[in-house]
Amino acid sequence: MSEPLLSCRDLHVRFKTHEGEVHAVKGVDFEVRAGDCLGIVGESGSGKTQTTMALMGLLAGNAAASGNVRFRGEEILNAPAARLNRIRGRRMSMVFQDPMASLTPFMRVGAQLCEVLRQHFGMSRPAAKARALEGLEIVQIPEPRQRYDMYPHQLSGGQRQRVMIAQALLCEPDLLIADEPTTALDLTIQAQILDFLRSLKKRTTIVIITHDLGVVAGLCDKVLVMQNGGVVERGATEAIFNASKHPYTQSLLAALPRPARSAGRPPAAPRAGMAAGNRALLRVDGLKVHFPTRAQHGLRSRTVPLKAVDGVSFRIEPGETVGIVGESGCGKSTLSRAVLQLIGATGGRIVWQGEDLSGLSRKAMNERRRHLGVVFQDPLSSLNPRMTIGSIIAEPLRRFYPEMGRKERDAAVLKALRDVGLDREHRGRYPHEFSGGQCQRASIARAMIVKPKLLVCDEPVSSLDVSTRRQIIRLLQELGGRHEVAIIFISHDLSVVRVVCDRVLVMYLGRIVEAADRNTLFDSPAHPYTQALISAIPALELASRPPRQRIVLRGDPPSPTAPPSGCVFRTRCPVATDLCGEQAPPLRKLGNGARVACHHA
Amino acid sequence: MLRYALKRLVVAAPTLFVIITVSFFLIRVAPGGPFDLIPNIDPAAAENLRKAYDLDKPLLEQYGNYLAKLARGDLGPSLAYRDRNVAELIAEGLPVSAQLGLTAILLGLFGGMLCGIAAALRKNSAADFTVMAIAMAGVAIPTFVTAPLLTLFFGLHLGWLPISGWSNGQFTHIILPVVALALPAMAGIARITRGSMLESLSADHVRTARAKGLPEWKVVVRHALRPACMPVVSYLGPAIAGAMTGSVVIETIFGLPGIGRAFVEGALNRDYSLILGIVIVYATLIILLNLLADMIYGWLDPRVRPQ
Amino acid sequence: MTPPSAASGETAAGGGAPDPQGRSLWQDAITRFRGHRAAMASTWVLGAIALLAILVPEFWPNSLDDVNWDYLESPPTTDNLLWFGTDVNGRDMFSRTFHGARISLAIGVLTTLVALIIGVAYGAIAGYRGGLPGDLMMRLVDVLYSLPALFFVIILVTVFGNSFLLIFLCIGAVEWLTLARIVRGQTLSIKEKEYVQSARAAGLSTPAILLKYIVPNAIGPVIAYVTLLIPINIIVESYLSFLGLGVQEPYTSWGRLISQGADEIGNAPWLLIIPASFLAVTLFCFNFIGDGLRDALDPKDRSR
Repeated sequence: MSEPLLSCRDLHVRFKTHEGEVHAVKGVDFEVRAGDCLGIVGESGSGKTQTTMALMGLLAGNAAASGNVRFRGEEILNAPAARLNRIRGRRMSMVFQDPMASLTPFMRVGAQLCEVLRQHFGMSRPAAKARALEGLEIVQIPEPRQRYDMYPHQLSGGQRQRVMIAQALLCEPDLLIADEPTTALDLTIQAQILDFLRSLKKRTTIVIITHDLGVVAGLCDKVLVMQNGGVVERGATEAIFNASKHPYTQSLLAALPRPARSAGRPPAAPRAGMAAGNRALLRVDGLKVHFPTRAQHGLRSRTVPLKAVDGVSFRIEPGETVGIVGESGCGKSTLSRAVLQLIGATGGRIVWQGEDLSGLSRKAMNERRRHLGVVFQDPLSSLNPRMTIGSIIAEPLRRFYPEMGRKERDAAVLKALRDVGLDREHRGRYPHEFSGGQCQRASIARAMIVKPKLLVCDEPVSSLDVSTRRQIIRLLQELGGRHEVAIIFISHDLSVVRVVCDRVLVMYLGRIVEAADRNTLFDSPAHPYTQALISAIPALELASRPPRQRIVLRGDPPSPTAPPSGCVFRTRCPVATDLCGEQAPPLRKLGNGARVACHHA
Repeated sequence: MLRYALKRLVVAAPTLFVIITVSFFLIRVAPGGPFDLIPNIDPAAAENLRKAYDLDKPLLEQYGNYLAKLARGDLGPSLAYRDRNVAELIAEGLPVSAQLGLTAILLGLFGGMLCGIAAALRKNSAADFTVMAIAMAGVAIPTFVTAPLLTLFFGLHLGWLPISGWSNGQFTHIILPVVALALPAMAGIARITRGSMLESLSADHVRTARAKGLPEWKVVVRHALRPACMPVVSYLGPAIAGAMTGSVVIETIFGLPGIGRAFVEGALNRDYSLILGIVIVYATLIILLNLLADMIYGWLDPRVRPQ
Repeated sequence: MTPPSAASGETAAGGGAPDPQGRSLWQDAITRFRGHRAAMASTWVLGAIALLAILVPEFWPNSLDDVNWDYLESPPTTDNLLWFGTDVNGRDMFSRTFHGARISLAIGVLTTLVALIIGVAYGAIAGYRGGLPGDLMMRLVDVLYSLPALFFVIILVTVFGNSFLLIFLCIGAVEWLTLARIVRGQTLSIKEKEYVQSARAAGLSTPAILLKYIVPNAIGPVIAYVTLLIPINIIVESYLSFLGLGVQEPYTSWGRLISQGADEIGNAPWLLIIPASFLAVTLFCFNFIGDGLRDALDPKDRSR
């Protein structure tokens, strides 16, 4: 067998920090052969990124690498910059996670592309420009000539990542390393980029670094699983997915959604009170939340409403869990804050147990808050850093049961801690002494201690690692069931929603485009947007198998300050017709009980 | 860009107006007038002087008259130098102060940035520590201490440079005051540049530039330098204000005929119209220079540039 | 029903056995500050200068304005305890230096107190109120910002005369602007933090949120800035005294001593060098303490 393209032997990376030495990468071995597509998988802190930084000679100043790295037979670890620079960008190039931060903000896209060509090939300016434009076309950027003269901040997230990839491919490198290339992107955009990377496999050798096994499944031939700086398992993707030997890999696999329909708990059994349905716990009628934004129009600037939520109606019965899904900017978080009356509504009504909340005084509203709990996304920043966990959890008790004695309150706090799986010793500690998962447990304890009737969870697991995510979801499910609490579960992650929710609302650009119970939605999605979202879930599906039908949406979501006429989704819709531009489709009921806003469903 | 500048100028006008108004009334509510300081003055004579300068009129009327004259560029007569008017005094002093201040700011800017960049590129080296120790001293020690010390050493001890006077801006006369005035700005800018350069060198887009295979000097010049300049530009406003404050002291110490010294003398003599005139000149200058700094900022960072 | 077990693999950031008495951010900050050597040394030096500023004027045998006729403009000597020499009038510089210290330090601290009260109140109101009134309040700050502080102080001192109290008030009345900006910025960003949203969602009243959630979290940068404002105000007073607009005879301050020293720089350099060194050391100390506090209170920025 010929020599591998890249081989890495006994690689160690150590960081000198104020707290002493951190051994981030502990003896990693692997090799990449020409034509391979290797996935390096691990959670945050597994050392996967630092491994590739060492390969590229991009480690931070306080890091030291040791071992052997050979690229095309040449030793490159700790090589002098002059020698590395003949390889970096030319034979081995890299795509980074956050395309906004990774492109130079004050240089035009074209200049950043040409720079590479001029450096490595000594091209003239016109030649470089022609080649760069070609590169932009290869990555399928719309209107490459105009994008060429733009600054990175004027592009959308997906376009920026395409520019990053174009830049990395310009010199036709032998090896492309992509570090979490889709993590910072929305689901439908992520699907576009993954689709493109798949098409690249024929052109070049690829190493993908990711925390998401789903990304690996559809793309890579080989997998390397890392944990705490070491490799725990390696092999062909198929073998790992079908017969993983290491418990860590198994736990990662278990966290992954299956394409089969057997996900989650059994179909929602109607709970107590749900069947009655004559009086909803919460009813939202035609809710609108608009924010004034300034926009330049010709010579003067004027105020344009940003329609974050634009006419949303739904109801929630006691004890049920309703998911609200959509990509970033679709208005789901704004909707949740409006329901909680943390943001004033521009129009519409929010009726809580038969009472219109918008008419209430601040004081009266504060009294109603006893039954409205909330859990936010970022676990650390949703706890006051100056208070102990115990007093944070006790806060709602002090507010709503001021007559409660100290002993009684302490007992309640201890019980709440136990319920969410924290120790009694934790109550004297401060949030910054906890991990993300523990903070989220405390957040849930605070929300649940006064036994609310409705709990609003805004992306409660999005910033947690995969294994922690599962535990928190299980906790929410269990507490929700035990206390008969209704849950509004907001998430961009359909695989989580599928596990947790009884009913799902899909939002796009401030409106609900589909509302259905979970099984109906996932088994027979009616709206083209829902169909695209579901097909974009990176599922446990192997590249070697015939791919299931994917729907990859074109382009980016339009701005909520200037939504398209008629159906807001029509600009990206695969089935749009002239009718969609003229008339906004109303939410109408289908035979299977789902409600859909589409002329063609 | 031009429209943005015009828009900012339109906003600047009311700012200036507020400053004029506040200063005018502050100065006029003072007990005692400029003529009470004249030794052994006859009360009747003082009263006549007050009449001659319209100081006996109602305050609002004086204010209206002042604004009307100001609109024509007339800053009124000086109350202390009774045969001169304020515009003349400022016209005499401003070129001196401007030459001193501009040279000092430019020296502080370029000297400070060079030192800061050098220190950042050689982080934790002996050169880095030396530059930063001197910068720390420059920030902490006020000009009225450094100026006499410089005079003592270069003027009296070594005898290389004259210790006071202007001589129409002759090079040797200008060195000591400019250096004394530039030191604090230079020190502050060096510290800021070093910090922002270090931050910029570890930014993601600089990592990308390295991953492209660019040589280090191209990485620094094309990708790291520009964002590192931006905090310096933001600091220019305070640095300019600091230099103006410093010029008051420097002009006094070195006996330079600038408007800073005129301001202090005006304050000691209670020459209200002179003080007011100089405040207006300084405020205008500061507003214009801040506007310039904002434009540079927009040029450096396309993200804040108005579309 | 069994409670869900504590998550395996989830370890507290602190690690080790759970300590029932957690460490608050304040305790952490104090520990970090103690570890900052330059800041700790500065605290001791500053403490020593402050102690001397209190004791020397009370107990030193040579008083502020006793004239030693045999020692006019004498360099430092051990005779008659004239350790720092005498000035042109034969007055003991040791005594005068620490009289000056007393006044300079007092002005630095008291003016900062004035600025603190105005700035925090103004900034917090502008920030929490927000909207148009908040914006207007900050526009006024912007306007005042475009004048160098010293000019306003000079005008104020000229207009109202230069008594101690007025100097305190004038400097304080001018130097609150930055504090107001800091406090407003803090208030604005904390107001949007999820823990404040959580508190609102839990039905807490506005005063309770301000007191328990916003002020404790906003105070860190304010403390750090205050230690930097004290030296700024000492310098402003020194400028005034240097220009003859500050404290008047028989009192003295470092600025005044330096001004008198600068006049005699050819004949008696110690008259300049001694008070200037004390001023510089004090300013250094405050700067180091400020740096130490900033690092201690905002540990994110440990980039060095």
